[in-house]
Amino acid sequence: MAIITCDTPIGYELPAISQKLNVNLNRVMTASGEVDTIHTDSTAAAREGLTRPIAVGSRLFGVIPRMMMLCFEEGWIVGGKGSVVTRRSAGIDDLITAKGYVTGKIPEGDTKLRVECEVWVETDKGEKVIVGQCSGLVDRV
Amino acid sequence: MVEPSKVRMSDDATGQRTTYEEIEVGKDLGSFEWTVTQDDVERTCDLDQHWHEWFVGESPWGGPIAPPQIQSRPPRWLLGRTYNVRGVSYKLDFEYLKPIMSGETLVISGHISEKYIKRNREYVRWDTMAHNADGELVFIASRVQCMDIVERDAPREGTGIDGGPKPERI
Repeated sequence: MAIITCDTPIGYELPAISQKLNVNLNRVMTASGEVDTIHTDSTAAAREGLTRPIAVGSRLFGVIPRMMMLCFEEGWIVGGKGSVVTRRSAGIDDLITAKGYVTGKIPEGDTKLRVECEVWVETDKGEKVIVGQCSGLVDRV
Repeated sequence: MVEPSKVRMSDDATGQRTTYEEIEVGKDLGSFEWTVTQDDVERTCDLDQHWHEWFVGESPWGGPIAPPQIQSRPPRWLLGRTYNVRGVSYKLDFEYLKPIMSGETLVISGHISEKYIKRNREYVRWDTMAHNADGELVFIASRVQCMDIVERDAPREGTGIDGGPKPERI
């Protein structure tokens, strides 16, 4: 059962979703073994100007779809939309949390309402690493 | 700690790095077929700790579907087929139009839509589309990659370890 409905008020806080990252989520394997990347190897990261290996972008982003699907279920699978920006990198073992709140509702077609949300991902140090907007569809009753 | 490089990499294990000048706006990045296996679906569930009964059993659309964020990988594979850009992910715009069914084959295609310079760094945007076997659009994604973390007035002369093209698997 989706959490968000057409009656959900503007300003409603979305349920926060967290994930503890670890280096095993970043490993890239080929037939000849593991490939060193900026997400697993200090030297590979340093060659690109980084002070340390960083989390994979899609893992940082991954907590947002989890949060949005909890909120919209079918209305996220079909009709989910988003626009996000990575502001800074996160460490490969950071605890990250997706958060957000409802910012608006726009009729879509004859029967649906698009519910817009401000969303972000922050680390346990309180740094916002991804910010943006996402939306899903609900029935207009 | 290994000291961070002050120069940009000119090549890496996957070949010569693509320069900003070599990026051609409008360039067709071609297409490839991507069959989404149940292993791909469940690996995405594992990686994102995102589990739902629809990913492993019946769903409102019939059989199992993939977590929709599974679509974040193919655009990177598509770019890597034409250009060797390492850098870091910067922006993502996306729209999920149809569920991605476990076992279905999608045709991934796209083109370079923009390049620009901001705060002394180089960026490339490319747009990706996925169509199913009936020719229906399943998802669209527009990504921007910052081509180098080191600023653009640094010489491009080092040899990197990591490269842009990646194994095309989840």
